[in-house]
Parts: sequence; C-alpha cells; structure tokens
Amino acid sequence: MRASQKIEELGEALREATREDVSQHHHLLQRSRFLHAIDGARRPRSRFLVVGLAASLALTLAVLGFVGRKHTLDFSSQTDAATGGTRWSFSDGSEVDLAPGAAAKVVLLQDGGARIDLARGHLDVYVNPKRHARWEVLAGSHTVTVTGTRFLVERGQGTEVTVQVNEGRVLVRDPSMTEPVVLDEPGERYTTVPAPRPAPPHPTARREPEPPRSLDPPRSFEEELLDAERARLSGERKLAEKLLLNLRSRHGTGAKGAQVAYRLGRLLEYEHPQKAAAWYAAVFKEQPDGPLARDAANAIVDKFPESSQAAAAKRFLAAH
Amino acid sequence: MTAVRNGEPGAAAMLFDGLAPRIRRLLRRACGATHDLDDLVQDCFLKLWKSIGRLKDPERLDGFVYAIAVHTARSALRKRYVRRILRIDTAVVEEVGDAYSGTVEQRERARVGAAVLDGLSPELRLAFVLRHVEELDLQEGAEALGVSLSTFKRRVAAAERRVDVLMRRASPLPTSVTQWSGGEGV
Repeated sequence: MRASQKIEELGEALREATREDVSQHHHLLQRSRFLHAIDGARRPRSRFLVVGLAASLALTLAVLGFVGRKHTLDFSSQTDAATGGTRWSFSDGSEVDLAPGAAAKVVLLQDGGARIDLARGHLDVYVNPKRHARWEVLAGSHTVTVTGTRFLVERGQGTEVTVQVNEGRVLVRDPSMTEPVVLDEPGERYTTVPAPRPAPPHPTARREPEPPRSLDPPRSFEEELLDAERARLSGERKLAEKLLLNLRSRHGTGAKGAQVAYRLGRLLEYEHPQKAAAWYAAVFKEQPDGPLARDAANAIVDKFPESSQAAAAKRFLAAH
Repeated sequence: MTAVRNGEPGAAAMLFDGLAPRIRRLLRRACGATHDLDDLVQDCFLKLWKSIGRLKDPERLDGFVYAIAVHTARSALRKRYVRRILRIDTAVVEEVGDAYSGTVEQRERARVGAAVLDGLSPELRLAFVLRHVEELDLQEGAEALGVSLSTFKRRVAAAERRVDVLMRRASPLPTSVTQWSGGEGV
C-alpha cells in the first residue's frame, strides 16, 4: 500500500471516528457553563467600573468641597454713643441691631450663620440670604430659625416673646409645639401668650392631683420599636440606642425587653462589640425559650467568638 | 452574527449552539480525546466571544472560528508537548470513555491513528489534521494556521513523511478485532 493511501485511510479513520456529536444534555451543560463564564467575565469589569466611578465621584466631591469650602463667620461690634444701641456686623453681610437695653450674645458662629441668645430686649436682624445660610435666635424656650430675611425679635421680662418678619420667612419653635410657626408675610407677627399666674392656693382648699398631660396619643411598644428601627436605618445610631435603652428600662427582662435587647445587640455590633455581645447574652439568659434566644446565641458564636459571652452562648446552644 | 454584534439577549447561546459541534470536533481531532476537551471548548468560546467584535466581514466567520480553534489547540498541544519532554506527563493520549464512535474496527483504527498523530510536533500535527482530517484545501489550511501557503505546504509534507515513518514502526492497522478489552465483542 502506498504511503499516500495509508495517510488517506488514516485521515478517514480519524474523521469517521470523531464525527459523532455529544449528547444534547452534555451540550446544554457546556452551553450553560459558557454563558455563566461570560457573565462572570462581565461582572468584574462592572465592579471595577462602579469602584472607579465611586472613586472619581469621591475625588470630585473632595475637590468641590475644598474649593467651595465655607468659612466660619466673623463679626464686629459697634456701639452708637448717641442712641446707646449696638450693631453687630457679620462677615457675610448680615447685621443685627440691639436696641438700647437689650441683652444678647452670640453663642455660636458657624458656616453660613450664627446662633444668638437673646436674654431681653429688642433685636432687629437682617440675614443676608445665601444658600446653606442657617441663623437662629434663641429667646427663652423659643427658637427663631431663618435662612435669609429681615425680622425683629423682642423678649420681655417674663416669657413673652414677639417675632415679626419684615422680609423672607422665619420659623418659630418652642418645645410645646408639634409644628413650628411659619411667618412668611411681611409684617406678620407671632407673640407668645403669657402664662397665667397661678392663683395663690386657698389655705383650706384641697388640691386635686392633676392628671398627666400628654400632647400625643400613647404609642404602642411596636411603634416605639419601629421608631428606633427607623433611627438605626437612617444612621442615627445614638438616637436609636437612646430610644431602645428607654424602652428597655420600661419593659425590663420580659419578652418585650428581650426584643429590645436583641435590637440593641444588633445596633452595637460594629461600634461596641463587647456591649453587643452582652445584649445578645441577655436575650437568651432572660428568655431562654423566647423566639430570639437561639438567634442571639448564634450571633455571639458567629460574630464574637472571642467575647466573654461566647462560652455561655455555646452552652446554651448545646442545651437547646 | 448580527445578534451578537447588537448584544441581543440570547446571542451567546445562539453562537454556542451554532458553532459548538464544529469547534468540539476540530479540537478533538487536533488534540485527541483528552480529559480537558470540554475545557478547551470553553476556552475557545471565551476567546471567540472576546474577539468576535473584531470580525469585520461576517462572511469570514468560518475562517475566523477555525483560526481561534486552531490557536486554542496549538496552545494545548504545546503544553502537552513540553510536559512530555520534561517527563511531567508520560501519557500518549488521554483516552476518555467511548472516545471514538463507529464500529469496533473503526474505533481501533482511530486509536492507532491518534497514537501516530501523537508522535508529531504540535505544528505538524495541526497541519496534518487540517489537511487530511478536516479536509481543508491548502489556502484554507494556511489561513487557519496563520501561516503562508508555502509554509503550510511544507508542514503538511513534513507531517506526511513523519506519519509514514511512524506508521511503519507501528503494527499494521488492524482490519478486525476479535476481542474488546472492555468485554464488548465484535
């Protein structure tokens, strides 16, 4: 047999023996693997893209923040010898005129504004309207917040406070208000009602105990827990902790108390791991048959294996 | 091709369905029935997927696919060749299950043929497979291998001489097999 014929036969043998396709099942598996691979090949690129964009954004914000950085206000005081009044001139163009006899002080100078505490007397305030401007005048329990306007504040000897807006818009708050009072019409005025003087008690009159006053309807445990959760999720961890501790002090070591303890554990996991472990431990120690006991013990074992509570958590899990 | 270029959903699956049998067959013929054949197919498709955007003329898809498959096979063969020289891998061909189809006789002939091919260098082996197994003409073979026509001719001729020598050394191709090692009779 000639060499070329042998080669031809060899080629044919290899060709015929390898003609058959793979099974449909094998093909589908291979296709799935390929599709998964190209999906995985895309993912890192998109992850890098996201990281790159985030870095660019952070850099841009940093540059903008540096360029647009606001400076803390400065101010100077000038007393008019003729009238006895005083003018405070601020570096952003804002001015505050203190009428003769008024007593006030600047308690805070910040970016874009100041906080002035008015003890008594009359203030004529002009705030240069600017973005991010934040000015406050404290008059007793009242706070007048303003972003750019001209207004008057007067505080009497007692608790009476009068605010009159001449331009712009101001908000007046005090702790008894659920919503601030908005003054946005020129000449609009707000005056507090002087508190009635209590009549002197009659020597023979018997005073009945006053019922507790509450402006809001009582809130349920779940609603209060939800408030804390909202605070946690919005990043106000201190507020969330305060709300939860308040709840815990009222509900003690019962089932509700354990719920609060569990949430405290979760809240403090990153900032105060030891405290978090202690709160988790309180859950399964106080309510060993409660619905959160195992989760709390598992959280300690998984997240704080080095903590002093870990051994107790393991014992609890072994026993339950 | 249009679906792939437009990034349509399902385009990758369509591409795989359309080309996988051919690519798998070529890699199997070029590299033998190795355990990593599935990996080679995947490798080839990933290369194809990444580079298909560079293909300007859809009419040349076949040659483009061949070139990528040949490149994949060449890399695998070179690695295997180096491993064998360094005596890291002494297996001639890693045979897998029912590596070849057809009758017992055809399968046995294919095994012997694969063993002969395994005695060729990667470049000669590819040239031989493209010309005598895939039955490409000289121009197509040269394009798939990425060499000039004359180089391809020289390689094919050298491969044929080498195959002839190896076949002389080996026992003649069996015309009948009476007993199959796996217990399967004729």
